[in-house]
Amino acid sequence: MSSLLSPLELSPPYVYEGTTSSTAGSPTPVSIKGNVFELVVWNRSADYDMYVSLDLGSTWVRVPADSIATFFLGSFPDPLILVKSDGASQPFSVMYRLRL
Amino acid sequence: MLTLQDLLRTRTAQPQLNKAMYFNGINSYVEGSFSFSWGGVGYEASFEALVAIEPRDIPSTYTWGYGHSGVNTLYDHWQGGWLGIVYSGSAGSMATSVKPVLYYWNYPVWVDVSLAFRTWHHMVGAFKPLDKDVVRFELYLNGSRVYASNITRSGIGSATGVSSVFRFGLDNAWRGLRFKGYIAVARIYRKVLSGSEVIHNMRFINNPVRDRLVLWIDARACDASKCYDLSGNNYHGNLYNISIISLSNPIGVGGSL
Repeated sequence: MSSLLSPLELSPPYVYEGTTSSTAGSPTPVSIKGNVFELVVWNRSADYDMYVSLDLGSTWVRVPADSIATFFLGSFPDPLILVKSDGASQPFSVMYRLRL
Repeated sequence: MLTLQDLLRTRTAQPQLNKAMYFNGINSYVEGSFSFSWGGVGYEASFEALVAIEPRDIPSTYTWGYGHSGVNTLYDHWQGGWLGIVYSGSAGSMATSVKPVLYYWNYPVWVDVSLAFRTWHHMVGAFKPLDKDVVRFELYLNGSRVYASNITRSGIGSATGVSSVFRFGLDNAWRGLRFKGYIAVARIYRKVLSGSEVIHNMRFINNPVRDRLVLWIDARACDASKCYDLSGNNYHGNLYNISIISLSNPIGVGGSL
C-alpha cells in the first residue's frame, strides 16, 4: 500500500520502434502490456506528419514531421496505440515507462 | 487544489465503445482478404462478435419460414467456421424470433436460445475437429456456454481448405437473408477460446486475448470505406453499403441500442 511518502515506482524506459503501414493512412497497432505511466511518440520522418490515437481510432493527435507527442497517463492498463501517417512505411518510435 | 500526489494517482480509463457498423438487411456486408487454412484434426478456431440485431422481414417467397444470416464467417458455410443467426417467422411477415447458428462444412446447428432484438449480445462460436468424422461445436452467449456438442458426420473432421476472405453480414447461399443490425467488434482466433478467455474478452473489449488472434475489427477503427484490422495482420475489411454509426448509449453486453 503506497502512501504519500512512498516513492512512485516506474520501470526503466522501454522503446518500440516500427514503421507505419505501407498504405498511407492505414493504422498500425502498437500493443503494450502493463500499466503505462507516460508515453512519448516520436515521428521520425523528416517529411510527413503522422497521427496517434489512444482510443482505438475515435480521435487522432497530429505529430508533425520530426516531432514528438507526450502523454501523461498516470496508469493506463494494456493500451492499444494506433499510429498512421501521411507517408507510407514511415519510421516512428514509441517510448514508455510502466507503473510498477 | 490539485497536488502532485493527485496527479500521480491518475488512472486513464479504457476508451468507451460507442461506434458500430450498421447493416441494412438489404445489401450491406463487410469482406476482407486473408489466408486462413482450416480443417483437419489439430485445427481450432473461434469466431467472436458483439452484435445487436434489428427486426427484419421473412420474404414472402420464404414459405419455409426462416433465413440464415452470417455474422462473422469464413467465405461460406462450406468452410471451417461460420457464426450467424437464423430469423424465423411467417413468410411475408416480420421475423418473430432470432437464434444463433453455427456452421461447419455445411453442417448447421441452431442453438435453442432466443436473442432479444435491439440488445447487445456477445457471441463466440468455436470449432475443433476431434477425428475424421467428429467436430466439436461450442457457443458462448454473453459469457455463458449455452451449447457444446460433438457433431458426427462422415468426413467432417478431415475436410480441409484455405479461406481467402472473411465476411460479416452476408447471407449464406442456402436459405440466406442479409443481416440487419449492428456489429461493434468481431474477431477470429486460431484456437478454441476457453470459458475464462471468453469472459475476459467480453469484459475487456479493448484488451482481448492476443494468443493466436488472427483478425480484430472494431468499428472505432474504420473510415468510410474500410475497417482496419487491429490484430497487426493487416486483414482489413472493405465496407459495402455499411454506415459507421455513433451511438448515444454506450455499447455493452445486455444493454439496449
